[in-house]
Formats: sequence, structure tokens, C-alpha cells
Amino acid sequence: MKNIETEKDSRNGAQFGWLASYPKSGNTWMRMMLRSLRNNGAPVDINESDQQSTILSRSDFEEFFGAESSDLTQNEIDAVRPALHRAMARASKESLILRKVHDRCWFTASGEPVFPPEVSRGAVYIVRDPRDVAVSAAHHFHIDVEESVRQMGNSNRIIARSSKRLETQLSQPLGSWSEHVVSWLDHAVMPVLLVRYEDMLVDSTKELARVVEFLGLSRKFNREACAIAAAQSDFTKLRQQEEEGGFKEKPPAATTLFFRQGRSGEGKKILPPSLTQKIVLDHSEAMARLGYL
Amino acid sequence: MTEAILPRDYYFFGRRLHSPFALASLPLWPETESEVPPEIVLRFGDTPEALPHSVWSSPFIQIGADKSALVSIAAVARFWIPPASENSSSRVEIVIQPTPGAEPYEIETFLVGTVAGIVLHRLGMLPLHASCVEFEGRAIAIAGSAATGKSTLAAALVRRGARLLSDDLCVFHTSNGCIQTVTGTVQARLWPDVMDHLDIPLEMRLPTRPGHGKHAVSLPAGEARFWPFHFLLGIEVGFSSPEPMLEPQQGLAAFVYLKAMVYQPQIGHVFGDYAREFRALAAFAQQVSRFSLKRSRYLRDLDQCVDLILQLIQRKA
Repeated sequence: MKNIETEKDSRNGAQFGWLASYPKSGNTWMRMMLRSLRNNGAPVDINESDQQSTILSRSDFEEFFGAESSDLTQNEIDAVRPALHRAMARASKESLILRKVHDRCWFTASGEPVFPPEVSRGAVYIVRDPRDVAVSAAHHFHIDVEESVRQMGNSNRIIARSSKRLETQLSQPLGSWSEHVVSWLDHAVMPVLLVRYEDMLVDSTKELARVVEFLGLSRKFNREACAIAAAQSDFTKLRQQEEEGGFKEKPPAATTLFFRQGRSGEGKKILPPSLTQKIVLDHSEAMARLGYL
Repeated sequence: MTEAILPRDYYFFGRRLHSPFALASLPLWPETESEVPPEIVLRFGDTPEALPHSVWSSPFIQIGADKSALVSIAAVARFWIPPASENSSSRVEIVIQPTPGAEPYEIETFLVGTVAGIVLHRLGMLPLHASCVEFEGRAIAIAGSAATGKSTLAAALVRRGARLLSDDLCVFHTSNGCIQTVTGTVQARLWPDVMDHLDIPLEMRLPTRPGHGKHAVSLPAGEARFWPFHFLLGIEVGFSSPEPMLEPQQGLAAFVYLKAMVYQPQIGHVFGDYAREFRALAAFAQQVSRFSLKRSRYLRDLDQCVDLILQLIQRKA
């Protein structure tokens, strides 16, 4: 996504607005709304080349550091992630850089925050009922729901890290679903705005307006602009586009549409009781905190 | 370093490179051209920990105002390219200070990748981020961003009769009005999923770093010389269509794409000048046919991609 010009910031240099979430929690939907907003309420093209708001890639790494990333070990790459974000902020001509992240909010081995506060305006943390995440992720990654629930409870979960193949994206430590939530809500060294997917379903304009206000964009984009952008990014429209022309961000293993249901409560209905119990057992504290219990 | 190995002279993108240790990635310098002096000389020695007045830097690379360069990979080595002397600006020295315990193959990994890009820029050779193969005497460059499958596609084409000219880096120059490329490396760097897909035997898979997934594989390679271009393919991945597609790339779009495919462009701009780069890319865009290969990010369509390319070669023959 092209960066959005904002009101002049009192701090020097560009800053990131992180769009953070556990996978399959509504991040792409929020990105599409912000994309329409940037385009002054134009219809969203889900396959528009959108390098800047997508997850950090090896190309980003090589562009800013000049070194062949695939020759480096994971530890060597992890150690310089904060430096990469600082370099990207220094090089940006805009005041705000929106960037999607699925990482938990993590720190390098030397204790440095991977998302440096000095180049972070804040994080929009999008969260969704883990029972629905489990069902959606099962479709997305073409795994059964048992495996999906197991992965959500895995503290060591990392995506885009493999010794068997070269991943396009830089690896992203997730941890368990609960750990992901806690990392952003309690340990991020920057302001964090919590956005619930369920609230986006109820009133997407209102939630987009909250994000706009949080990111310091409200002078440029008023409530009416948010309403138009939200309408242009309506889930049924996104789904229709995918049905007609595909979606390049969909993984090859997925057997269903990326924009599949866009509903809440599916997990409660279709998950077997044993898996519902496991999710509640694994994540009860975070679920209660977020109003999911 | 575990042992000293006999010094050799190698063919490095048309230049003679002298090394104090064996380099499996590069073809040997032709005996018929033994009178040509080495232009790139590798030696072991002490290097600075940092450059005092860098004009560009990252956690791994520093470029000095005097066009010196320092590549620092803490677990492997520091590679120092001192400033050029006034009377031999076309000669490049690379001083290597290995980290204790580092293996020669690890040093070679960075020599033929990150360090090679800097050297090529310093020599004014404008490297593209592309792998290159030769088919029936003409070169096909496969360009793309990181992790788009350049090496994979090159290796797959070699399996179908092509020969490798270079991996990940490709240079071009004009000779008598004709754009040519030149042999660079005789190994492709591949990951296990690709090596398995291409049935590459385990004994051919040489490590690049201890415990690392990426391996070096020696492939049938074209002889060390210059080659006329057939065409350039630009890989675009993440395509939403289930079938790969080849499309001609023309006009300004072709130029913009080529510009984006310059390897380490930020370093090139420190060393070189924009006008020369512009002229070189414009000449390339004008004279070499270009196609976009739109494909998925995955191996499932690799054989279809190779079929498309071979059909294109047949059509253009």
C-alpha cells in the first residue's frame, strides 16, 4: 500500500503503523479498507501490487542491507530485524508507513525490540475469537481443525521458516494464540489500539474510523470517507473479486476462498466439543479478557 | 580455515581472478589466455573492523567514500576491498580475514554472492539479479527478486538441455553493437525441495553454511566465454491464475523492470553514475527481447514453466 500522508508529526522521520494480528483474524480486510481510503474511496483491487503494506520479505531485507539473505542464518537475520525497520523508516519519504505483521511482539536475542518504539507510531492489534480463527486457519492452510487447534496452542510456532525451502517472507514467530495476544497488548513498547474482528463485522466504518484516529489520519479522512472506504471493502465485494479473478495472497494449499465466510460464531457451531474445550483450556485467560468467554 | 589449498586462477565474469584457495563455483581461467594478468586478486590478511568514513552502510556492508568496501559476516569472515590505486583502477583486491573455525565453503558462499556483486559494481559491470543459462549457443537470463525461483528455473532448464552460465548474478555488455553476457558461475544454489523435485543426488549437494538449507550444486555449464543474448525472462510470482503465463514486456515497462533488477542498486549508485546505468539499461531494453513469466510461488508449475520457455525458444529460433 502506498503510504498515507498524515498530519505533521512532532517527531522526526517516518514512523510505522503496524497492522498486527494472528493469521486469519481480519488483517487483510482492514488493509483493504485502508487501501480504499488511500485511493479516496475507490473500489478495492484485491490483487493490486501492494508491496509496502504486506509482510516483510527477503526483497525488503536485501534492498536495505545489500546482503544476500538466503546466505545468512536465521539468527543472523533475526538479530538485525530492528535495524531493518529503522533503515526503512529513515528511507521513507512519507511520515507514516503502514505494514502488516503476523509476528508476535518479540525481542531479539540481545533483548532489543524487533519493532523499535522510536520508529513506531503504534500498533493496531486485530483480534478474533480463537474458535473462528481455528476454523478459518484450517481452510487457509488446508489442515484439519484438530491440527489447527494444536498449532494455536504451540508456543514455538513460527511461520515462513523452513530449512527445506526458501521462503519469500521473513520468518515470523507467532507463539500460541494467547501469547500472541499478550505480547501485543501487554509487552509492546508503543501505543496499541485493540480492534475486534467481531466489531468490524457489526460496524466496519466505526472501527476504521477508530484506526484512522489512532494513526493520526483523522484530519485527512473524516467519518464519511471512512464510510465510503468501508463500503468499497465490503466482504461480499472482496469475495466476489476473488471468485472472478483469484487472490494472489491465497496459499496454494487452500481449497476454499481466502475471503470465505467473513462471519463470527462459526467455530462455536461446527467445532466438536473436545476442540472447543481445548481452545478454552489453552486460552481461557486471554479469551475472557477479550470478551470471548 | 581448516587447510591451505593450492592457489588457482578462475574465470570471473570474463575477468581473471586469482585465489589462494580452491573455488568450486567458478570455472578455471583458460590456459590459452595465460598472458592476461589477474584483475581480481584474493588474499588472506588483516582487515579493518570498520571503515572510518563510510558513505553507505548496513549491518553487513560498508562502502567508503574512496570506493573501498567491507563485508562483515561475524561467523564467517570479513572481506575488505581496499580503495583502487590511481594507476590500476581496473584491478580489485579482496582481503579476507576468516573467522576462526569458518570453513572455506562458507567464505566462498559470500565471495560469489554479496561480495561478487560489490566487485562487479566496482568494476563498472552493472550486475543484474538474474541467473543465466545457455541454450543452443545463446543466453537466456532469468531475472527476479529474492526467492522468486531464478536458480530453480535455471536448474530445471539445465535438466532439459540448457547449460548454466551464472547463478543469481548476470552481467551484460555491448560488443560491436551486440549485447552479450558472460559465464560467471558453474554452480547453482538450491534448496532441498527443489533438489528433491529435480532428483539431484545427495552426493552432489554441497553445503553453503553448516546446517543451512541452501546447497551448492555443480551443473553442466557453458564454457568460459561471452554469449549473445536470446532473451530475458522476468519472473513475477504470486500470480493468481492457476496456470503460468509468458507475456512480452515492452517499452517503458521493460526499462523500469530492468532498473528494478539491478543487483545491490544502492551500492551501484555509490560506485557508479546514474547516466552510465541509464544508458546501459536502455541499450539492453532496446536490443534484448524480454518476457514476463507469471507463475505461482510453488514448484507445482515448474515443469509447465520450462515447457513454456522451451516453446518460446523454438518459436524464436
